[in-house]
Amino acid sequence: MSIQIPFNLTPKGGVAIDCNEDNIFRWSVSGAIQTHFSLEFRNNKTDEVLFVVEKTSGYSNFYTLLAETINNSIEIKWRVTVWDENNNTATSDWEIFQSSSRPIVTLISPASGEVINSRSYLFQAEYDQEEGVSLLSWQFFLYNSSQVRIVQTPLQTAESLQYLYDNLESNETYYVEFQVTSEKGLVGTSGLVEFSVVYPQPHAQSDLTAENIDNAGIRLRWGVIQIIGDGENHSFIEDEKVDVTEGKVWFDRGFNIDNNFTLKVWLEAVQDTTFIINPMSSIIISDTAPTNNDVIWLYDSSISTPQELTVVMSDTSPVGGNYLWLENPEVASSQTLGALIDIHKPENVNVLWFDLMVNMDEIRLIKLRNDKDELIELVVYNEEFYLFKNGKLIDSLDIYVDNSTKYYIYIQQIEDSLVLGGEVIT
Amino acid sequence: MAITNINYIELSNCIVDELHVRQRTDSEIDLTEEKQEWQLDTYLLARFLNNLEAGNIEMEGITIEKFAIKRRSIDELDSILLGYVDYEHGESYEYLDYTQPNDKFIYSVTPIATGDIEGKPTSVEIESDFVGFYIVDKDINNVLKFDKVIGNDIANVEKTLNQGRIQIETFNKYPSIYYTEQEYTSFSLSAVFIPSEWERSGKMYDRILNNFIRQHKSFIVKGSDGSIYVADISNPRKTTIMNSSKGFDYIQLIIDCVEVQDYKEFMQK
Repeated sequence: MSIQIPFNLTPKGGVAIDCNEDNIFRWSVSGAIQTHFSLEFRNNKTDEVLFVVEKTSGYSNFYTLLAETINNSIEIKWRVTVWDENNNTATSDWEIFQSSSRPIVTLISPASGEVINSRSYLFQAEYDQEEGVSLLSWQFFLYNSSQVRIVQTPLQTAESLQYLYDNLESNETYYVEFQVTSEKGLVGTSGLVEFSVVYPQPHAQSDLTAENIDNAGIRLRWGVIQIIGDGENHSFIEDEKVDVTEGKVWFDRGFNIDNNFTLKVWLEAVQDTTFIINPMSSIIISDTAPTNNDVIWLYDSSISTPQELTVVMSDTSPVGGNYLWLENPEVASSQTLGALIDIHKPENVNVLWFDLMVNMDEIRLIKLRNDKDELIELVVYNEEFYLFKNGKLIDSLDIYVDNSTKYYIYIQQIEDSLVLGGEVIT
Repeated sequence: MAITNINYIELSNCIVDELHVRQRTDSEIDLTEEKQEWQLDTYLLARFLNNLEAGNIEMEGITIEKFAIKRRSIDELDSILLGYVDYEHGESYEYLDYTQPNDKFIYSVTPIATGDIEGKPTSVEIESDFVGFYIVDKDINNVLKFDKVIGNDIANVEKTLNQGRIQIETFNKYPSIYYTEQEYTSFSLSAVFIPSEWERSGKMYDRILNNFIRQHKSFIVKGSDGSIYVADISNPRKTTIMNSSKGFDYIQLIIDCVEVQDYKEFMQK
């Protein structure tokens, strides 16, 4: 029996293929073993011969038409001729297919590797087809970090390729893909495009407890405290410190320290200021300035030899001697006072206090205040940390080294006592 | 005198790494330079991680609006959203769930910020462990408890699984049997109800009728055996003592329950 007409030719039935890619043409034979074959491709409308595969020896029932052998955008008919070992020949019927470029879908947003900063995102893509074949349908796919598909839309026919997804999780990596189908039935894909999602997420450190209760219920309990501070002229350093050397930050909402507390603070860049403080100062009167600068000098052009004055407070002028008299009608018997140069008011009322009029805002590190304007302040000067309560010195801490040293400081209020402690952080 | 009710803290003239204010002052408190997490007695903890957050919720300045309460069985992945609790500043929060069967659960509380940003959940595990049968109105957490019997009787609940089954007599020796998708459980609950001190059993019965029987809606019916149904309840039968007196007054109530919906579907409404 001689070889019979080849059948089961593919592609067929007007299906579209992209001739810019390699394509396989198949057929089946019967009656005898095929020893040779040839293929012929013609323009279906003009009958122009587009490409011919000359008689080729081979038993295989397929032929790979290499990319770009035939142009796209043509309706093509093709047939195959086969020979058997006795050189009998048989030619198939014509089968028709269309050549058309595969559609291209390009992801507009997000870009590959982009970091999305929100829970919802509008994914957008663009359709293109070289010969202008229209879009038939498209689909959106979303994959998780393991490239497991987690979202697949039904076939969409809208012209604009966009899909809003509103359930992206923070700190996750995803892959997105758009697939398009042209009216010729060819499918194009954007491929899997990676992106990641990072957005602020509330994170509560509250202790959640659960317990069985009456009437077959479960009771959940938790507590959450939100405190957001405010500031001016402040900046953050390396995302983990706040620089308030030229400004300040404050917290005034969401908390109330009702009584005892322990405050711990980690500080650096603490600038020291030197003040001349003398708890037992002298008062000198003369026509020339004294050499030491921790005395109180009263200028008198008539006194060439410096004289030290004693401070006396009384209702009548003291007699004789070198006195600085402070008249006080309520003090009948004269009272001698010491002289004090300091930045804060002394507890001892029997001294003449010379206030250095220091601007506390410039030396204060921490201020704690209540609605009654009662204050606790941590200040630094003369290479020491000081704790003030309502303007009164309470405690001091002698650990200051320089402004490049880091300090850990704590303040404890236990009933009436207020304590300052701390150490240098090495 | 101690300075109390401090509600303002200001930092200036330095670089601050961290500020932690706690209530505790006893000898057990760690006064070393070691930094600590938020503690139960913490008033304020500011870490300055590129923000001025100092509470126990890190939101990068976004305002929290509410909490989502979710529950899942320990052997399941999907959670049921039970409801929301609005955030109120400085509050302790409580949520009561009466809709769970006897099982092991993971409950989670998730903060929800402006823009429906879902935060990181805090979770807790618990095994529900109740005794008796309960009818629950999930909309208002009304509960009717079937757990008391007279004397030492053991109350049984007989449940019937009703399947859609069609039996067609044929000319053959045997009939043909077909099953439909229909499948539901029906049963009756019976228990003794004792009125509280301030009411008599007649008034209590009226309250039960109003709260449950006359509502004509679906209720959750759950038993200590771990079963749970969404059921229609009907046909109440009441037995009362003829010569009841204050202090010796109770009713025996029987209610018919017919399963009408899938529990998970009902919970997702």
